[in-house]
Amino acid sequence: MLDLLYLLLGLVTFGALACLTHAVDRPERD
Amino acid sequence: VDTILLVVLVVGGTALLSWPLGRYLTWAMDPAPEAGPRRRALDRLFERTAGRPGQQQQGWKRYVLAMLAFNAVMFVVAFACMALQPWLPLNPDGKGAVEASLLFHTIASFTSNTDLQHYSGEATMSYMSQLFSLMWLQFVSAATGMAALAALARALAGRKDMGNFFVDVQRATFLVLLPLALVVAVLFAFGGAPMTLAGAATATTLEGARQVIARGPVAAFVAIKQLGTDGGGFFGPNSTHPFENPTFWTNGLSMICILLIPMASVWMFGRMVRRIRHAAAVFTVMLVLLLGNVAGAAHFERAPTEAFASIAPVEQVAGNYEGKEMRFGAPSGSGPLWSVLTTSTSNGSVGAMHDSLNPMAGLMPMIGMWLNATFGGVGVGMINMFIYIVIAVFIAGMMVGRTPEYLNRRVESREMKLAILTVVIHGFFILVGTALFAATPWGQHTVGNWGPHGFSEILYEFSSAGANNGSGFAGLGNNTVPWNVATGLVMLLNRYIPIILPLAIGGSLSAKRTTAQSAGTLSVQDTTFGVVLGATILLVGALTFFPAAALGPIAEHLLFMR
Repeated sequence: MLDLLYLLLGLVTFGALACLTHAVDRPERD
Repeated sequence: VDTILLVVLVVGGTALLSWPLGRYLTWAMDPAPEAGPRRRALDRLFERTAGRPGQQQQGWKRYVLAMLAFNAVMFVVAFACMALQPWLPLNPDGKGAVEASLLFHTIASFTSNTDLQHYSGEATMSYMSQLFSLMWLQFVSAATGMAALAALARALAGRKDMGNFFVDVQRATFLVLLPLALVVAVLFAFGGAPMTLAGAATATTLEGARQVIARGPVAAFVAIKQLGTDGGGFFGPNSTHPFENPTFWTNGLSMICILLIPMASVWMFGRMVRRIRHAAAVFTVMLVLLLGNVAGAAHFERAPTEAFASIAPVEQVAGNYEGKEMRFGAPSGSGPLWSVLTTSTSNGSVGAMHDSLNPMAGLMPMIGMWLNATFGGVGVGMINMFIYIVIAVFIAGMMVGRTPEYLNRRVESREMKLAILTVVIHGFFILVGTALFAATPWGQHTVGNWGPHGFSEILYEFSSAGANNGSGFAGLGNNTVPWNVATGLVMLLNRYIPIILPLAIGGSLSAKRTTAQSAGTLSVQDTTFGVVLGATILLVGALTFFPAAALGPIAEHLLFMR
């Protein structure tokens, strides 16, 4: 069970990195 | 003289080898349109293997998302394989389950090409886990770095698309890493490294005691560990173990392999952006900084260690003997040279005990990790250097009052924000992590020494995680839940953010119109550029990390000053 929680932690980190990629791609506001 | 000869042979010899390898890497990663039919057939095969996602050209964002998706799948597959090791085959010694936080840490570590190890392989991992979780990740994580550099180079060469990640990662794995690793593994096997799937051997000592000797498919593991700047050892003592590094010759071969692909990556970058003289300037800056670091480590390691100062019979005429494998030569030779090479290139395998280095000699590996661009990791070292180049051309442009340009494209506000963010994040995770663990029982209760040396142990651990290096200062009881979770997250974040942001800069630059070169354009291939770039790297590194260095290794050095 604890193993699955740590697996989830890794996947959430990859998800956060994907969100960062989307955020960086947004056009800047002046 | 021995030390100088060793440095010339290892660093100089590898620099010479890197030139033809750079040409080969370009052929493998970015074949010219006029490439022969066999080369084109290979690419068609890679495209077919990747299925529909392998057919399309990707912009920077799709390329990055493909990389993240692929790495997330790698993480899950390797995690599952290791979690199930008690029930899977290739477990002749009956290794049990791996503790959950250690499992997370280990998979994060190998996925991120860090290979920071909070376990001893011979006591914890089955052959299944060593081969199909860890060694597989050593190949594909290194291939991810090479793919990212190829994508960046394509963007800077002005192409609208960055290629296809799924094709690139196969090119790097099957055309570069596998063939090289096969040759090196055979050399290691001939050099005395074991290569067997049989379980541990049992021997009876002269005293009649029973001794269990761990072994396994070591030669194959060591080859990719060194070539891919991974650094994770098959055994706990890594390359100080006589099965991972049996002789003086395998020691030399290991150091050459550590440097080879990072050096060749610079030439590949230069060829892909069609600026080989620019690559030569960058290569020279990296080489000068690396040699300065090696010289510092060798110099400070010529002094005897304070640990033996009160033990009268121990004479240390040739330098610091503590933590060295004497079969590799003088204590001021191989040990400090390896410690700098392995940390400058984000490799992380160890050939001597870093915790036993004299304080200032121990600072040198930390500098290698802090700068993280003196050849750096496979592919990513040159990406890190690209960030320093962007900052250097910006500073130089401001100094002469012109809009900064790099490879005929203007570096403007957006690119600078992303470049600065990349640099800040590298320091942020290392320094905030160190501060947190130095101030709390999470770190305080795990250090092996008090005072500045204990602080250095914590600082080194976060530097190693943050720079995706993986070497250990040791002396630290780091297999705890806080250490495993904190460094696991730092490794993942500091692996991918410094790839995402530079690729975003590359995408941004490639979308701009080219500007004509004029008399006012800053050359990126002459001595002035080299000096500005070198000074930028040193200044950014010093401004970020000097206060931490002063609290750790420098304070310890001053304490022992006579």
